[in-house]
Amino acid sequence: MTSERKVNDVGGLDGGSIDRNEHPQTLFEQRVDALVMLLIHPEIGAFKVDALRRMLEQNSPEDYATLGYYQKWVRAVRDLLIEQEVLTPEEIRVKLAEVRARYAEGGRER
Amino acid sequence: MGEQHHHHDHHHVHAPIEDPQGPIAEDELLEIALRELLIERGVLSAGAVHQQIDAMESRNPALGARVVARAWTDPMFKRALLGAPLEAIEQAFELPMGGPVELKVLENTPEVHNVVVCTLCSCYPRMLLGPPPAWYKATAYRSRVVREPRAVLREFGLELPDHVEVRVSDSTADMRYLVLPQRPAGTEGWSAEALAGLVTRDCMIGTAVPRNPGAGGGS
Repeated sequence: MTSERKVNDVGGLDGGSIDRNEHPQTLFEQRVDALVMLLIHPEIGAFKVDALRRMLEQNSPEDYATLGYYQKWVRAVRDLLIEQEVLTPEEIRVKLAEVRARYAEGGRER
Repeated sequence: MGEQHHHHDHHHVHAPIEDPQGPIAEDELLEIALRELLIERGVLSAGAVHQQIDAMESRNPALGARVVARAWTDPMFKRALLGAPLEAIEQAFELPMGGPVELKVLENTPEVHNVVVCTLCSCYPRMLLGPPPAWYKATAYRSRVVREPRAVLREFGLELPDHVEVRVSDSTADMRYLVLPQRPAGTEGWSAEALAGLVTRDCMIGTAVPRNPGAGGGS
C-alpha cells in the first residue's frame, strides 16, 4: 500500500461473514434516498455523487463503522449543502430547532 | 419504521443506546429540516420528494428481470442491449433511463461468470433494480468479493466449476454494471414473462444464477 487507505476503501481487506438480512426501506431511508437522488440529478445539480462519496470518506473510522448508511448520507447532504452555499449552518440550526420543537409537541406523526 | 419495534422508557437516566443500523430521531429531524429548507428556498418542489419515492419504487428487480428475459428471447434486443444498454432499454420499455450514469451489461457465458460490487461505496444499477440490498452496501461483501469471489459466491450458495473464470467488476459513480445471466437449460419455448420469473435480483448482481425449477436439480 503506497498511501493510506480512506475509511471507505475496503476492497481486498479481510472481512467477516456477510450478513444477508434485509429489511424494506423505512420512510426515513426512502426520504434521504429521494433527497440525494433529486439533489445529484443534473436538473438541480446541488452536488455530484462523487462529492457525496468524498463527504462519506471523511467519516471517522468509528462513525463509518457504527452510523447507519442513511444516517451518514443525511449528514453528508447537510455538509455538502453548506459547502456548496445552498444553505447556511445558521439556517439549518434555526430550522432544526423549529422542527425539533414541533415534533416534541406533536409526537412522532409527520 | 424501526422504532415501532422498540419500547424504550421515555426518560432514561443513562444515555440511550443507539441502534447503529436504525434511523435515530436526530437524523430524522435533520432530514425533515433540510427538506423543508430546500422547499422554502425553491431548490425542490413540494411534491418532488414523494414523486421520487414513487419513481424509485417502480425501479425494482422485476424490471431488470424483464430486460434479461427480453435479451434471452429477442436477439436484436440483446445486441442493442450489449451495445448501448440504456438506449436499448429506454426504447424497448419506454422508461426514462436518463441521468448522469452509464450502464454496462456483462454477459455470462459457459466460460465466464460476472459478479458486481462497489468497493468504495454502494454504486448499483438502481435505474433497473432499485436500491441495493444491505449486504451489497456492507463492508464484508465489498472487502472480500474482489479478493475471494469464489468463497463469497459459495456463501451465497453458488458453487462454480473450476474452469469457469470469475470476473468481478467494481462499479463507480459514473459506471454501473448489470449481469446478463445465462438462460437455464430446459426453458426452450418459454414466454418472456415465464423466463423473467426465473431471474432474481441476485442473478443480475452475479451472486446467483437462474435455475429452472423443473430441471430437477441440474444447474
